Amino acid sequence: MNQPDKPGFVPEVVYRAYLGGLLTHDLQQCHASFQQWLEADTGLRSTYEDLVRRSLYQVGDLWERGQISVATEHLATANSESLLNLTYPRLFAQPRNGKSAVITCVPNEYHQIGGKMVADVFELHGWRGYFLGANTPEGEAITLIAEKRSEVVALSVATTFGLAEVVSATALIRAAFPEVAILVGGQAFRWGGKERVERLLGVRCLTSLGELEAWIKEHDNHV
Amino acid sequence: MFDRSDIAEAMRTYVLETAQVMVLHLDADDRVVGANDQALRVLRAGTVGRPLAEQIVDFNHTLDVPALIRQTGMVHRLTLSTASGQPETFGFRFFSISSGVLALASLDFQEQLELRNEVLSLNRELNNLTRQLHQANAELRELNQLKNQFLGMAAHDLRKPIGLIMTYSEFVLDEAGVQLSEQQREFLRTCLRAATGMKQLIDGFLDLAVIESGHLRLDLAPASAREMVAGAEPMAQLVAEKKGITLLVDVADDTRRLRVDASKLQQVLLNLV
Repeated sequence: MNQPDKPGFVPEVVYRAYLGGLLTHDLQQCHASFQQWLEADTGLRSTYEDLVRRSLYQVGDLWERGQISVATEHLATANSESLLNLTYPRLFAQPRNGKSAVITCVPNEYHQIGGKMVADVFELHGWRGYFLGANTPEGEAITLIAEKRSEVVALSVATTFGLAEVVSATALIRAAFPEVAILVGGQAFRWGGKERVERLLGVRCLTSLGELEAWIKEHDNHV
Repeated sequence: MFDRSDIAEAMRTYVLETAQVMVLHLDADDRVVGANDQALRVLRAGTVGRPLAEQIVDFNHTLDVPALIRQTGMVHRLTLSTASGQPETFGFRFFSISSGVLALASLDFQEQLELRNEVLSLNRELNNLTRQLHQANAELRELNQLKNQFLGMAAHDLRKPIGLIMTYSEFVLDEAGVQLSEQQREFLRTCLRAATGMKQLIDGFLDLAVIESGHLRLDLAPASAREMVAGAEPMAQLVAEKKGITLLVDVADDTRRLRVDASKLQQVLLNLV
């Protein structure tokens, strides 16, 4: 079971300042905290998991409890996503290993930041992580897998409403590329369902960026 | 059943204190004489006490505000300056009351929602494009490095056979030139010229590949302008003589020495001359 609220290596004071910035729409404060964490050079995965993901899960909880509006939640997500751009000059300058993965959000899935962080973690490990964005028809993913000869496709789904789309996308991708590994993940599995999806669809379900990193290392060692 | 007076009081309290609706009380001269909490929060300070017409943004003076205020059966889109300094368009409806006119105004919720969704969608798209741009730049850098490697290897491999052609052409001209006819010697000279030109071209490619890969090494040592010109002069004189051009060298008498790559600067001088 995932532990979404478990504090990571981000100092609590940095995390609190970042979260405060998100909730008060203070992008400068968020920027400063994010930059401070990046410059500490403790790793992109930690920044994504312990700062971005943890804060957005907390923002989601506050919304569910009626303490903030959906507009604040949307703005917090938009601001967080903009901050990921700060990592790119360093992330994309790393040496490549020739492998690539296509990461996509299933149709009608408009939460894309999780999928983007997955694509970035692939980049962090020397892969090319091609991210297709929110609400992407399966056909676009299939075209890109063929064009880039990708070894992996990752499907991101934030709500349980999107699971039917995961089933349909998995069937289409498997029919077109039987040899391509299919990964599934996202907030939809925050409270469980991982084993059932793996059993029913025959895919790997990863519920954290740490699990994704472990999978990438395992895959790299076997190839 | 509902008690109408209780309902009226609850609605009055809600509208005046909480609702996201602006309530303005206008007197017979359309002057704002009262406003609810929402109107005082949203509109610029000094709203109360001024005629409503003066507070409406109407650069071209096309609106007949007093007439609009008396059209009580419909919603009018009117733009007012807000406390943030930004103009904002509200849907106004006017009601005639015994003490003047009651103006109720609110933002278009549907329009605000669409605007928010559009902005969020554009933000997502912009962020995706930013990521794609970084990724495409990284891929282009990789391809450029590959191109430079290929260029460097190809140029390096071509230098050796061209060097052989030049060496043997010169050797035959020097050693066996007297036994050849003038036409045969000219053939060899043509070979030599063509090979020399090709070698210069390849050297240029190699330099380009090295420069583009960011690995150009400069051999820095103290040298004066006179020494650099003196180094380039014999070669330039040779070329000039062949073309029947007289080359005059005039260097200022400056003995200062700078740390430069004299060989590279001589190459620049020769290219210029």
